[in-house]
Amino acid sequence: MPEIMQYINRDSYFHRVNPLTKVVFTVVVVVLAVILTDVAALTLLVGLILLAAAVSGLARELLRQAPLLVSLAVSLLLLTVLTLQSGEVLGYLIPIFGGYVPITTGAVDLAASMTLRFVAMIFAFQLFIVSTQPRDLVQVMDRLHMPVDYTLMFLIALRFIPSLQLEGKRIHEAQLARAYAPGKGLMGKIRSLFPVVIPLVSNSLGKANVLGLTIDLRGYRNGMRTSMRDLGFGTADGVGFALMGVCTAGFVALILLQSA
Amino acid sequence: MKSRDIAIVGILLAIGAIVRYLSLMVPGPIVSNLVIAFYCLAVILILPTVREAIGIGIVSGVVCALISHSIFPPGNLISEPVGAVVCLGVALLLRDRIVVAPAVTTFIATLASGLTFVAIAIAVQFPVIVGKYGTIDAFLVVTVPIVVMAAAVNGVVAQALYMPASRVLLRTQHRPAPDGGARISGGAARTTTTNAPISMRDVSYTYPQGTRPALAGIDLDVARGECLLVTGPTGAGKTTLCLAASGILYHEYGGSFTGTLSLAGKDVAAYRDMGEIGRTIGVVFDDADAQLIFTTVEEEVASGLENQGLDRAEMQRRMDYVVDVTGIGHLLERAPHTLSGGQKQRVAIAATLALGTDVLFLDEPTAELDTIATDAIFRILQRLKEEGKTIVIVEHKIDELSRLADRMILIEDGRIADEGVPEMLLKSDRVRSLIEVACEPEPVTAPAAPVSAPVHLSAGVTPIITVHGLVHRYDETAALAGVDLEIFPGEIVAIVGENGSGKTTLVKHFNGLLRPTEGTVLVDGLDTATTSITELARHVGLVFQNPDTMLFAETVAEEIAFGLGNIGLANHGELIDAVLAEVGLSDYRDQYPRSLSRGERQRLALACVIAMRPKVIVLDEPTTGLDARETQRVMEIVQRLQREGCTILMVTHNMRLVREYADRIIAMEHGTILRDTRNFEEIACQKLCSISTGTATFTA
Repeated sequence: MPEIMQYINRDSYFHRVNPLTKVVFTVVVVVLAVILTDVAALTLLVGLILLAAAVSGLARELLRQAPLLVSLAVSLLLLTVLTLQSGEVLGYLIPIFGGYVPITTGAVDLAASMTLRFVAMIFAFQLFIVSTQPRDLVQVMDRLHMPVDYTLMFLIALRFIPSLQLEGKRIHEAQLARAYAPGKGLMGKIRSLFPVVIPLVSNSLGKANVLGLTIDLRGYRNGMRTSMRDLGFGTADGVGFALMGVCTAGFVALILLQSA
Repeated sequence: MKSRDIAIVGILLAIGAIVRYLSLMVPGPIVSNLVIAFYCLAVILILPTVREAIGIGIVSGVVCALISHSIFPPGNLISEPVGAVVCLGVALLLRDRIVVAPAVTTFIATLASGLTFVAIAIAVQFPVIVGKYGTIDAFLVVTVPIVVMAAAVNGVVAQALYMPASRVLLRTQHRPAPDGGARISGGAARTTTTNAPISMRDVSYTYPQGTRPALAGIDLDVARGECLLVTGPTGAGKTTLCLAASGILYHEYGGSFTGTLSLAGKDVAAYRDMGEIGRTIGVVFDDADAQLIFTTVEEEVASGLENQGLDRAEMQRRMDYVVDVTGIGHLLERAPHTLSGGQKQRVAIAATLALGTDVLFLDEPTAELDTIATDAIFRILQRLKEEGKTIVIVEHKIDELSRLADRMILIEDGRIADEGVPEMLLKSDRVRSLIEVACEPEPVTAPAAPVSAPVHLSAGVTPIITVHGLVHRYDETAALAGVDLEIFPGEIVAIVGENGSGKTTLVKHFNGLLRPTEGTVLVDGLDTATTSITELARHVGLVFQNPDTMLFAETVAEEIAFGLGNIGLANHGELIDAVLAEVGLSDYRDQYPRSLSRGERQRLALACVIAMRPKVIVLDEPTTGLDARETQRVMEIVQRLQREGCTILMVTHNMRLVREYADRIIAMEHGTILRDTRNFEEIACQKLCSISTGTATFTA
């Protein structure tokens, strides 16, 4: 069964650092991706993230996103080629009869920088997701002072995803045994969703009452917690912050040099 | 926001993430973010405050950013709160005005969220785009139609799910009276003279939507260390009594509550909320799955301890004790979805025990469990009783509990009809006649199931199912390791064995849900490896353990028509009438399927399958959750089908069912057939009654 929860149980550098360090890492990457403008700098950023992943043995997990990234790049390229013509003409989208729709360097350059920016952010989030246990995500929300009600909401969503995936599979099988055949086309696909999703929603919402009572009776909303395990900061975190600091300083210097 | 609302949002977000994930499998460049449809549905259903809507939006944004393969994760963190707030605004505006309010609301909210997302994505790219283009028109031309289409899809989804969702919630809805608790009337003395854990004086209760009292004039004291068994016919008010005595009705359900209830010597009204009552009493419910909130067993149990401000050593000591009593030491690292029903219930009991309360309520804790798992629960209760816990248990499985309980009360029509020591009470004819309905039939003492002449040995009978050298592997492990089997027309075959022995895997091969890794399976002359599931569905019907696994239509008739339509059978009307008559549901033709009782739903599920006239019917635990009367009705239908020439295969743990109804018994172990016999006595219970550890995907 394909997993929605993408956490990978492994011992890597990213697994060892405090989840909050990873939150900082993600924020730093997002900010850098936004302020960097040229293709070379963005390539460097993506390269550094990949390097960090490779050193921790997680590169393969990132490259699994490749199909999504390629389709993203292609659609962005198509968009820019169709709407922007600047710089030299590299070729034509329809290379017959002398060529229609010119592909220009300007369009390619723009598409590349946009793609790289998205790629940097996706990679950063992906590294965070594959290396952070769901329960630590909940602790992160706690630490970031998310009110307990919303932390509970998120926790319940996380907890029920695999269960409801199994339940969905069971319902799907039950309907298959009634000769249910998924429809074709967009509307067909949407319509064929309902014999599975309606029982799934009905059955799982039937649990809301007991779930709510359980939350109350166990006092989860009191918010008075002594955790049995602590997520401390260690040497790994120190190294992480140092590296992030160096890279950020480097990029800022680069920007200042360029604008000077 | 009530805790129940938190649960609703969490559950809907989980489904949203799953559906969004599945939609990514559909080819096509950009698909709608269906998570939006689901948080909109949540907002429409619970109508939170603006602040709460923002919170729901932020959680949804985190879900989108982290687990829905967003192409621009930071965008979701802003666009989803915007969507949630817009959704709330539109929902309040349109509420009760138009039928398609959910669709319109979700459409507009998705537009708001989508356009915000696009705006942020463009803003992030702004320096480049404006530098090179001078304008962002081109982007809007491309993205706006996509957002509009996504909004339309989400609108359709939310509209279709709104009705079934609100029906479920309405059925279990409880709105407290304005004063925060149930309405209290009547002049019963409010001062309590007893210090008993539970004391009820002249308690009557009517549900908010009820017209007549569900409980009337209940007087009940439960002494410290007592084990009280509450029983009675289905619908008599057993569960209501449990909810009343634990203070849940008073604090959470509204309705009309009269009389006095005191818990540990303190009036129920003096408790602030269920959270405070939770420090005095623990409650375990029938739905084990709904009582697990955390992602691992260890956290589930530890979290109860973490909320009490204990020091670490004391926490660890209590943890060890609870784990020992419930026997879940080997499960600590496991996630809830990998546990069997019985294991889940043991974890739920452990999490409740971790709270350290002296009083424990259990509301039909074994309703959905098989006999083996039930025994394990009863052994835990035995030990807790010995340790001096006060236990109130609602059950209709009397046999095992009558030895454990100190006292038994019999509820009939909302009143205490009788009470006393179980042994004595069970001697009374009147009591027995009432309980006969409530509990399972007495075990047959004489060796039943006469050894009929083996049909298949008579010459000339062609098997309807032929299995040859069947091997099935999930990943590396062999779930079936070489099965050879012939099933003959008109047999009732019971397939028994521990969880994980391969029963479910075997029967799933008969209708193509699983295909052989090696070997062949022929059903009615068709090779199941190459025949489509749709085609096989005409030959083999499959009824799942829980009827709710398949029910989705608006009426009983439509539910049955679904299968008929799928195999292209026209002229539904008469067929549907005939099959409804066959299962005794003729009066329910136009009812909403989920409003039927559990037993009726089970018969409806059977009807859905029978209507397609398959030659073979596979039943997975056909009587779990049913009382004796309903069990008998279901099995009578099964026997009638057999007489009409149907072949019946039932997967079950219930040895009583096997003994009374099966012509032939196939016992499985480690993916092979251990024994294939027509003599019940040959299947020694020894092996099959040990505690199971498997996780077959059929069993809930």
